[in-house]
Amino acid sequence: MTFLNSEKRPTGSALLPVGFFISTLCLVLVAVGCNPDSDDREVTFDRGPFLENTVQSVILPAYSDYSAQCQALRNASEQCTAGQIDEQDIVSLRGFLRLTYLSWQHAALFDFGPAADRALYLTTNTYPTDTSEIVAEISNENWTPGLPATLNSIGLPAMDYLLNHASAGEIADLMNSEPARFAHFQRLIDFLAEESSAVLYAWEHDFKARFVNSTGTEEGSSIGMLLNAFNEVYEQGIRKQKLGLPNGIMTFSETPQPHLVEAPFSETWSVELMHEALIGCENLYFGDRMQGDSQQIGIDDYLKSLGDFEYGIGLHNEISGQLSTAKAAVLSMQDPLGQYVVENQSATYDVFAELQSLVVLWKVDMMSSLGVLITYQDNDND
Amino acid sequence: MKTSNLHSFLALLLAGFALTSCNQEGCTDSAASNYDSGADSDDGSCDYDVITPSEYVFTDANGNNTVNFDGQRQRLNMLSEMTTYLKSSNTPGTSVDATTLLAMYGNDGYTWNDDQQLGMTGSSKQLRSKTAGGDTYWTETFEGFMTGIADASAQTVEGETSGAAGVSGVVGSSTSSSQYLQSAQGQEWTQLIEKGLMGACFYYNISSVYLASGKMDVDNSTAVDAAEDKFYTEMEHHWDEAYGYFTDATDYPTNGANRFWGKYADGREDLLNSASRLSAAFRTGRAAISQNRLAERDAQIEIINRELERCAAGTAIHYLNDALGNYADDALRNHELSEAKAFIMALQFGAITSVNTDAVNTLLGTLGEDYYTVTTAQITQVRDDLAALTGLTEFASNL
Repeated sequence: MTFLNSEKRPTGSALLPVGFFISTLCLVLVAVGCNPDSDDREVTFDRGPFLENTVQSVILPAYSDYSAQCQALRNASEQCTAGQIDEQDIVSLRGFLRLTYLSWQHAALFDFGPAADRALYLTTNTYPTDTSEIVAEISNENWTPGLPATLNSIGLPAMDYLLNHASAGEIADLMNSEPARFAHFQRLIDFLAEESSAVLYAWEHDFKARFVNSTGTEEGSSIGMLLNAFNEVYEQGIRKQKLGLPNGIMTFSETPQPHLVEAPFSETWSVELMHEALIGCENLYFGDRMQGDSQQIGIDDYLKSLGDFEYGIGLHNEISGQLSTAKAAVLSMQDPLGQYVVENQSATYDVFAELQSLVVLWKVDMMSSLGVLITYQDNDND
Repeated sequence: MKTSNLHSFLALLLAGFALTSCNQEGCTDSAASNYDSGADSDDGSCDYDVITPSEYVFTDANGNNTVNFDGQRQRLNMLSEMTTYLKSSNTPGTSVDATTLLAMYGNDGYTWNDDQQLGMTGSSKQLRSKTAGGDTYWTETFEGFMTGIADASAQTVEGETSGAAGVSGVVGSSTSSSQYLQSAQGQEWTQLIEKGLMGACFYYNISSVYLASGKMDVDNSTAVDAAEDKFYTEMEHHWDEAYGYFTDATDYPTNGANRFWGKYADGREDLLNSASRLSAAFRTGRAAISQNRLAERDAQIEIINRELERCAAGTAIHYLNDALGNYADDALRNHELSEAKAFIMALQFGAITSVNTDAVNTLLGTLGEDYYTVTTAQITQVRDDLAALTGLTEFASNL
């Protein structure tokens, strides 16, 4: 697959008969870890403004919105008093949790720098969550959120469980009869609120300047980190975790695993979250929330700057078309997604195929066109 | 080349003027690095750049090879064989034997595979006596790791990855097929031994022994023993021994990037240029010795010390970042933190170091002993402190 695609998109000035040979040679070099040199292509694209816009129009808004949503959920929970919680309070908290969950889909894409320093991706949304561990931790006064052993019982999935595993009235009753349960919910949101604001703070105060100033494409450069994190989150966190595992296509048995969907207890959010994640990808790709209709510089402009070739404008057209197709395909599924993957497994395979097409376009074609090396599969496990 | 052609031209041009101008002294050889185009009278000050060969290949005036680091190659191979043996314990139910490990470490009655037929079995070469100069604190530390892994490996049961927080044993990765034998606190003896000896043995001998004054302030005029094919001077040989602890490939990094410092310098090439700088410094310094240019040699020693430190610190930072990325995966996180610990430990073995023993202990204290309960804040703190000490702050998140 890689070979076929890349042969169509020779790098360098390889549009001559020697093109095939050169591109084949480059492939061999890439295969043994050579860093493809984008300078060969005489790219005139100015990466500084691209990085600046990505921070200002995409990354900072994503973190500041997510942090604000965490804070809103925290504030809402502080309005409640254990013992006097009613059904309407739970409905209201659920509304805030849903908004936080949606907002996280945007912030999740930037799993490098300040987010990686705090393992934000893991502390926020590791699922499936371990419900018996959550219950056990409710009464643990020495519980420290964020340690490795707590990762599968904290974050948004744990709150989905605590707020959504029964009817709003039943949840209110449980919280009232067991105040520690509500207090634990508050500990969970306190932790998320603090972690999200710490990451936002680090971006605003130190990391932003470093990110914007590193304009190369080598391993460890801003573009390298951004696009590696993006590809990894898309491939593993969106395509695989949100759909490929629940519908069974990426499991050995190929049987649906309904409990693996995101936010399973909500029963109504999973499809919406998956769709929102694609909107997050779209925002990053186009450089803003206008999907390319504005003048903001995004990855789309970077690709277009490569010229009117298959690996430039042609590739951009493919990506933007496939994004629309994938979003529509996701919306063709219905919540509860856990039930849907069981009853309509083959239909979800079709949706998965649309998500998979984006992996090829982004991870293989886009990255090789931009001359940025994928490094995240590199495991020094020796 | 172009410059010297230009200089020749200018020299001719200026020579014309010089005929009518006053006498000026300086270096008049256009091949010299301090050629003075304005000088018309040579004052004997000409200075020449050391010519650095593209590979670590050196001969004497008669064309005899003067490079030999067989002893170092033996020790590299010993550590390779020991590491292979240690890693066998990553398979549950496979134990490693303490007596065997100690025999390997001291090359005392152990029969090596010796694939390259270097005569390792029964040779006088060993890792133990070369560990931090044979310092008993360090040799006992490593022997402790060896008995530790032997004891733990004997408890593992075939097919069971039962290692977990508070329980020593083989820990299976939740995200890959990797599995590693680790202590109850998640420390991995294999990494502490392999990477630890890279520091206490190889790094120590390069920096604190062979490139230090004791081995550099020696004869550099006569072949050690031409009758025995030892065409090298004592100083040349010491330099080669330092090189041999870095890599045993004369064409590094084409070859030799597969293990130990050669491997990790290559891993840090993209961001820190470790492989190219170290390789060039070793070749230039050796060429300087052969041309008896000792100031140039000393300049290269400085580069090697600095770059080895950057490589060790950069590799530790790299593994700390990996551990953050694999924070939820007990096996990988513990594995990477064990590697980071060993590379941090290594830093104290440099002759000129920004991270002395006290600093190493402070860093490791911040990291803590228990890799199951380490926080992301501890890992980033160690990383950022280490980066600040070694001038790598700008690379701290990228390595």
